[in-house]
Amino acid sequence: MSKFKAICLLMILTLLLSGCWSKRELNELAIVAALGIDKVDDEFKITVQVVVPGEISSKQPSSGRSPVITYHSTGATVFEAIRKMTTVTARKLYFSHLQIVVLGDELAKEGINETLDLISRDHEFRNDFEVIVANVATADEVLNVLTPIEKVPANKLLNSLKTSEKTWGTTESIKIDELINTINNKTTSVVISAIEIQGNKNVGMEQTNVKRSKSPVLLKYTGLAVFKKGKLIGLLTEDESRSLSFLRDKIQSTIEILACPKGDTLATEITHSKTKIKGKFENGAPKINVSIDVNQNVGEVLCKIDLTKEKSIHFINKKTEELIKKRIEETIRSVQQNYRVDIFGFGEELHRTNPKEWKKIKKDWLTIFQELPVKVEVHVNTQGVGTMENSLVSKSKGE
Amino acid sequence: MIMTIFILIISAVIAFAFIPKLKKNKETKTIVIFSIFLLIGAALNIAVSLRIKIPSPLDLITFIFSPIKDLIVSLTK
Amino acid sequence: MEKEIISSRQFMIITLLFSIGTAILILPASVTIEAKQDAWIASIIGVVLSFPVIKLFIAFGNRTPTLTFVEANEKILGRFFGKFTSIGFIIIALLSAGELLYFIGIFMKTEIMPETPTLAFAFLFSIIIIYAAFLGIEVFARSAEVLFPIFILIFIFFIVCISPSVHMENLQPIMETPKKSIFFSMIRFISLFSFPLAMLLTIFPSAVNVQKSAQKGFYIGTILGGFVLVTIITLCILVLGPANTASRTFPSYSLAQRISIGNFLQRIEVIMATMWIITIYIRTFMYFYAAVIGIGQLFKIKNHRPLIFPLGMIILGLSQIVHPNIIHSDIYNRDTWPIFSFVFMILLPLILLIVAKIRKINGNQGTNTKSNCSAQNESGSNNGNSTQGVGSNNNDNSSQSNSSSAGGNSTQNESNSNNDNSTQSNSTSAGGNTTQNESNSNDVNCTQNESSNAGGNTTQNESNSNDVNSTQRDSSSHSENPSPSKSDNSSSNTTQNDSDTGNTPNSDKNKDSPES
Repeated sequence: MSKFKAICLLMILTLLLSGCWSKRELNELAIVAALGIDKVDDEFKITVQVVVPGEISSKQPSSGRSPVITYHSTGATVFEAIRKMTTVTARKLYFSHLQIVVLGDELAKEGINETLDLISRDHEFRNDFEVIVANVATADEVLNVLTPIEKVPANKLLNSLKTSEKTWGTTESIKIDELINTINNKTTSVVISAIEIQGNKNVGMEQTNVKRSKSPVLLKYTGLAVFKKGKLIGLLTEDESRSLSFLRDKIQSTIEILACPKGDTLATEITHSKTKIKGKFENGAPKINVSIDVNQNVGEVLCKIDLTKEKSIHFINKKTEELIKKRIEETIRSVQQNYRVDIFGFGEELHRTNPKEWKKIKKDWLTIFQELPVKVEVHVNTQGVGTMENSLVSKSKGE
Repeated sequence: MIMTIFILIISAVIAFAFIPKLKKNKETKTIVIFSIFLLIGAALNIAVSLRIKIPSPLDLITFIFSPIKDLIVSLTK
Repeated sequence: MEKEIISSRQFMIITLLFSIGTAILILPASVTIEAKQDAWIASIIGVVLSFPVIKLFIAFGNRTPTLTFVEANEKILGRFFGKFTSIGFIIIALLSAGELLYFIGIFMKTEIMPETPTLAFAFLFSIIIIYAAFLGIEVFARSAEVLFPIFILIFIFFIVCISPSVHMENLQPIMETPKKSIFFSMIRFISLFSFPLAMLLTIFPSAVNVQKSAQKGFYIGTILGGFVLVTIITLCILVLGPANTASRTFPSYSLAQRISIGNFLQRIEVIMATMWIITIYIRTFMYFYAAVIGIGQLFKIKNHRPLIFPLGMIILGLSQIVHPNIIHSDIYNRDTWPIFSFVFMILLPLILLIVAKIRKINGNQGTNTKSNCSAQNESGSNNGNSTQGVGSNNNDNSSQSNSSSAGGNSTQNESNSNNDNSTQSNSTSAGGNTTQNESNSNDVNCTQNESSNAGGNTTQNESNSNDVNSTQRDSSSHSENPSPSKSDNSSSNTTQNDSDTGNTPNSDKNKDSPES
């Protein structure tokens, strides 16, 4: 083929490359950072937190406007409410950069299963956002609060969730994928991290919230919420949430406080923890064995204890073991009696190891779960004591 | 409407590109078959562009093979 | 119209990419629905069960090494029945080509650009297919060779990036699903993966230049394609979980969406989609090419080029009407396609193979030389060696002459000529050797001369000619040897001269001239 024809062909082909059918320019998009779903009078109320690009860009000085805008709309389904919102928003909403989804308190109590269908079915929603539940608040109010340091509050919610999961252990990040898989599985129940507003909700909306050094209104994570068949039934305490994280092998680092032999307290920092759950059937009755392996360092010494002696380390190990074991057993018992749902995944574990026997007891799992014997074994190894051996400060206390 | 005219123009272009050459070689069978397929193609595309509801040929195939399918399903149940 | 040749390596690449085809997008969901977390076991069984299928295709290809599938249909079943089954084969090819165009349209529309009508995608894709068909299979094979490293690169990158996100517990408990479900999901797997390989019979023996490595290429291509599919299905289950995989329309795309390395290598699923576009292109082209060649040979049209454009328009129109929605497509692939493809892609070659065996048609192997007016001369003058000359001419006006003058060697000549106006002469003058000449000519106006002058050797001549106006001359002058010469002529106007001037009696057979 002659050169001329080839060049013509190439030029015609590049014409095809330039545009697509349904293009949307960047300045036509409203990028949604967070989505909040509430239920008001049988209708879904949607709140979206939209980023204002001019405010968060580092080049232009902020002109005093808020870095995010929240829009609301109501509709019979989530999809309808989102489309209706175009009457209020300046641009069409773009959900691909969604960071976090907040489910309101009332909605969670009524049931969250229907709201999740749009989020998993629509092609614009990806799967890398987290889901949290609002405690004693509506999603609307949560998304209205402006936060210091993070201009986009959705980022703050996300980062705080992930950081506290890694270092404190009372929250758990759960992506939409995992959430749907767990909901689909009839035997395990869902737990979602809960967030609440500390302070006056109305003040949180204003810029004054972030103009002071001490913000009056803060968003705080308060533990894990327990669901039964998609409905919120309760909130675990901080200790119980931590034990649950232990059981699900999600602890990466946390603090344990023990009492020293001579009084006062000692704090250790867990650096590594691995939990193995084994289920087995004895004479047709299920049993669960939990074994936890913990590595820790001594973090803070507030008592008189001689850390140079080996028996102190033994003592710390044993005490931590007892502490963790007691707490976990208490949590399991409390969940078995008060909430009566399997949030630990014990049923799934039995299913995986012994499918035949599991099929027999699957139907009555919830009743069996309440009396399920669980044996917990903890093994703690204290590896380091920080940069000092014996505490200078505490020694001087005694003298 | 525009699509219909467009399709007709394309069909005419294809016809004019090939028929003279074929006529010169006196391959009448090829011309006949070519024209038949061209007509079918053009008619089909015009019908699609005018949004006329054409039943899918796969439905016919499904209909032909459904007794076999029922047989196999009943055998394995 | 010249015959086009592709190398066996190109054939292997085409087989690999063809067998993956659309299966990589549809199969994870449709297999996991029945088999749940044991879908990978069903897939592995499916790949293993593809071996007998391929063996069937290769055996069939060996029967008719120089004919495409449609030609072989007519040859083996005779004019009437052959045309009938050919029409069935062409219909399945054409419908599937249209269906695949629909498929690329709906895939793009569902996942990437939902507001674009499927016609736009189908139109762009059909332009590519038409252009490729216009340029011919050689160009297509070369393009497949070029696209192949891209595919492999993206595939390996995909596997490496998604591996950190696997959860091994998703595979457990193993073998929990009942055998019946595994059987059904295996049927679906094999109907989308290995039955369509029958389309490759259009190019398999007739366009590939080296027979043995083409067979090996067939096997290797399918194994590698199966490996890719099993890997993708297993990864889907490992990362997404069985429930999620079963309920998605395109689980592989969801799998690609999950790639997130270090929080910066994200959202690259469209690059992964390139992989699938490549395999869908290969598969659509093969279906379309099989249909075009089939129609060309059905109506005995010499040049199939003009047919490409109208057929392209037809598949474009077909793609819009063939499935009204994706649920219809799912149901079709689940219920009807296994039976439909089994009848025309497994049962038909099987029946043809059996009939061909019964009718003893073309049971020869040979290398195919595809050039017009080829003259092949093999002459060896040497001592103490074995020469083997095998040649098949599948063209018009071919002449072949083999002459070896040597001492103390064995010569074996086998020649098939399946065309008009072929001349064949074999002459051997040697001493103390065994010569074996076998020649088949299945067309009009063939002349065959075989003469061997030798001493102390065994000669075996066998010639079959099944058409009009054949002349055959066998003359062997030698001493002290048994030479059986057998000639079958089943056509009119045959002249046969057999003259032996030799010392020992020849058990000669001038057989079967029903119409001489």
